[in-house]
Amino acid sequence: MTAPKKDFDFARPKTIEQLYNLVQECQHEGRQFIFSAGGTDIMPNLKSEILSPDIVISLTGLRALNNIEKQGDHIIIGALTSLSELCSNNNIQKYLPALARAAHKVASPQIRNRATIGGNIMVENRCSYINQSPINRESHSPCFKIGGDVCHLVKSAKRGDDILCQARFVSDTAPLLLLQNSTVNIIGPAGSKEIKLADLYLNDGIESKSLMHGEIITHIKVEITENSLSHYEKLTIRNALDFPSLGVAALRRGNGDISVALTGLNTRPGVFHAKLENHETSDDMIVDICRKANDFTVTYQQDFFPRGYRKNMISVFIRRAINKILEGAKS
Amino acid sequence: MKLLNLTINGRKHTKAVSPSMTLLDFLREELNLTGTKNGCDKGACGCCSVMIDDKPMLSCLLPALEAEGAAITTIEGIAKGNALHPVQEAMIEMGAIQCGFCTPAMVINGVHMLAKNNNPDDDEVKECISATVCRCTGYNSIEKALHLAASKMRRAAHDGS
Ligand SMILES: Cc1cc2nc3c(=O)[nH]c(=O)nc-3n(C[C@H](O)[C@H](O)[C@H](O)COP(=O)(O)OP(=O)(O)OC[C@H]3O[C@@H](n4cnc5c(N)ncnc54)[C@H](O)[C@@H]3O)c2cc1C
Ligand code: SF4
Ligand code: FES
Ligand code: FES
Repeated sequence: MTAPKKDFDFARPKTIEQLYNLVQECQHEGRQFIFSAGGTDIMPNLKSEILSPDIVISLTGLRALNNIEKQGDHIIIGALTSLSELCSNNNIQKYLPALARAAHKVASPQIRNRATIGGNIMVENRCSYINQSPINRESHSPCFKIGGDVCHLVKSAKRGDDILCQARFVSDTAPLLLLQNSTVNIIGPAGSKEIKLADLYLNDGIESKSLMHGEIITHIKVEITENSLSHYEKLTIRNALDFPSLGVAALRRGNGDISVALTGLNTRPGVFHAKLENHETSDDMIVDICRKANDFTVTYQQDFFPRGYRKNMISVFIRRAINKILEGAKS
Repeated sequence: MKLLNLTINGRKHTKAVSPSMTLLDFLREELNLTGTKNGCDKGACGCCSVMIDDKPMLSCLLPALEAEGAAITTIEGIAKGNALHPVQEAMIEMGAIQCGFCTPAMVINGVHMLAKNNNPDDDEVKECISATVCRCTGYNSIEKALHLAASKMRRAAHDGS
């Protein structure tokens, strides 16, 4: 049997009120808690002792957060909507087909039946040193991400550095959601608020999200961009089960401006824009985006693919995604 | 320990479980339903697939308590008495079972796909088994078996109507 080493308690509150009573109780008693939605990201991390909370608080009892609705020129997606529901939803297929494509590229059919969109935009950053079995990790000392005093990837890193940990941002759905100017609705012990999705992401592989402990995302509000075209391309070795070695979302607005968002290439997602000049998508626009993307990229050897190859593929994948939407614009 | 109520293969169960026990361990260790396999225990091999409320999911990635109130189908619930499901028959006929370790998961995923669509194309069949790892067959015979099962099911639907 290979249950998590450290036993944890488990609770599934049915209402937000029950949830916050429990959170308060935990804070009062000093019990460490984490939230779980589909659990497909936290479970491997619990088993490999990257996470070791006293209690897992499941959000799946909050049924009201599992819905997709069109409100005017926005689509509101409940955080607990599963990725397979997202892929097959009529409104998503009609207004955000590239989001359906990106969600469909996550993990595997069985995982998408469970995994949620909220969990996907919150997915923990990854690194080839940390996302290993405890046995494998025994061969080197604990790194910063699990409270140790060293980084095996960037040997010169030390406490006090701006970026302590280079674990990669890997969400497949975030890039497109960022291009659609999405916002997230958050509730927490201190009340509710709405922030830009872009403001959810921070620079460090450890503190990679700006949510305060105890806050949850209830909905994601996605702008429908009139007359736009979009696409998502993902580099992986296998068609299933692989996290993105890199991922590129591209969007062409009705006025011809092009934006690109990247995943897998830094501790956070990157977003770049190019304005249309002289009514024509010029190669200069694409070259400019590729240059910005390359400047943004930090490719340490953290992936199956060699660094150089992955770096070369950035421009290839950006061009591929943009060409796909330009073909769509012609037809 | 916390009390868990759920239905497995049509039978109701109530049992006290450790909150950190996975559904996979619950099925294998507590109920002795060892048809569901533990290949990797971290979501990467598909061998622990079971149907939860009619959708295939990975039982190794789920605390058992998360299945409270759910209806679960494991490989033990696929045949009706001695009558095998067409997917099981086809797997045997096509030689799609070698060591058999991936078979329960291949069957669960295949049964789910064919219940929704008994005329899948090649891509749908490939997608259906894309995340269940088989170290023996090379997948070809499994794909053929699922196509054969589909034709058996179409024939049965035709004869029945
Ligand atoms: C084999 C395998 C392959 C994978 N491949 C991919 C891949 O290709 N691309 C990819 O993007 N991911 C991949 N994943 C990771 C994961 O399955 C997905 O990111 C999934 O969408 C996570 O959603 P979840 O609901 O299961 O998250 P959970 O595990 O439940 O949660 C993940 C994190 O988000 C937090 N969280 C969840 N919901 C909320 C909420 N509503 N409010 C606040 N915080 C919340 C949790 O506290 C936790 O920190 C893979 C996982 C496995 C096991
Ligand atoms: S990059 Fe982060 S996770 Fe990877 S070894 Fe360094 S500190 Fe650890
Ligand atoms: S044992 Fe669950 S996916 Fe491998
Ligand atoms: S038959 Fe042996 S793993 Fe598939």
